[in-house]
Amino acid sequence: MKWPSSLPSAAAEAVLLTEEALDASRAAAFVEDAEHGAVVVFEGRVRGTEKGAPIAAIFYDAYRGMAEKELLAVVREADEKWRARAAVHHRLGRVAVNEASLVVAVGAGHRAEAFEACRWIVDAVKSRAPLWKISFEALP
Amino acid sequence: MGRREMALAPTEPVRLSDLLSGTPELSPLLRHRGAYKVAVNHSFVETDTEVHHGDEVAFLPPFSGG
Repeated sequence: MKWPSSLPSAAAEAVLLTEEALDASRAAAFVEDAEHGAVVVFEGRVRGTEKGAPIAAIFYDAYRGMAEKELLAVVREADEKWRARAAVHHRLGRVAVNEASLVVAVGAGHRAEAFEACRWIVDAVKSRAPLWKISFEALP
Repeated sequence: MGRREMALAPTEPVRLSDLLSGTPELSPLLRHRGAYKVAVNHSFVETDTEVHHGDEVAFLPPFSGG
């Protein structure tokens, strides 16, 4: 399956913004390498409450071209800092409770770099990428 | 400002602050300068940069992805 992207095709799997359900195994496959003794996969999922009130879903929006560019920069910086290969996949549109809105997979030589890089990437995604929760859908 | 995008056609390079003050739909942004980041052609800009015909300028509210 192909997703539309403004990035070169070689980078398309490192960074993915999609309206379709995320597949953590797909992100993990991107970082597979015989030199990687550690692979960390993080899934950020939609909680069933927001500010104390029950919700059914969150809607995500992106300033798409810039978000892809910024996420690719994050992936490249992680490679420079930890020699870690990373994939960052973010869901857009309606994401139901329990579904993943973010998947970050990191492969590195050892677990310390993999954990550290993964945490850093998740923080960077939240602070640097023009992505927004645009609304919450209340339970009926 | 409640809209997703708009097209402007400055005839010559213009400072961002002058573009905002000269465009009624955008001028309220001048009063809320700390509430958003600015990007030109998908790159963050920190200062009152000059923009040119054809540039894509974005005013980005606080991010909440993840």
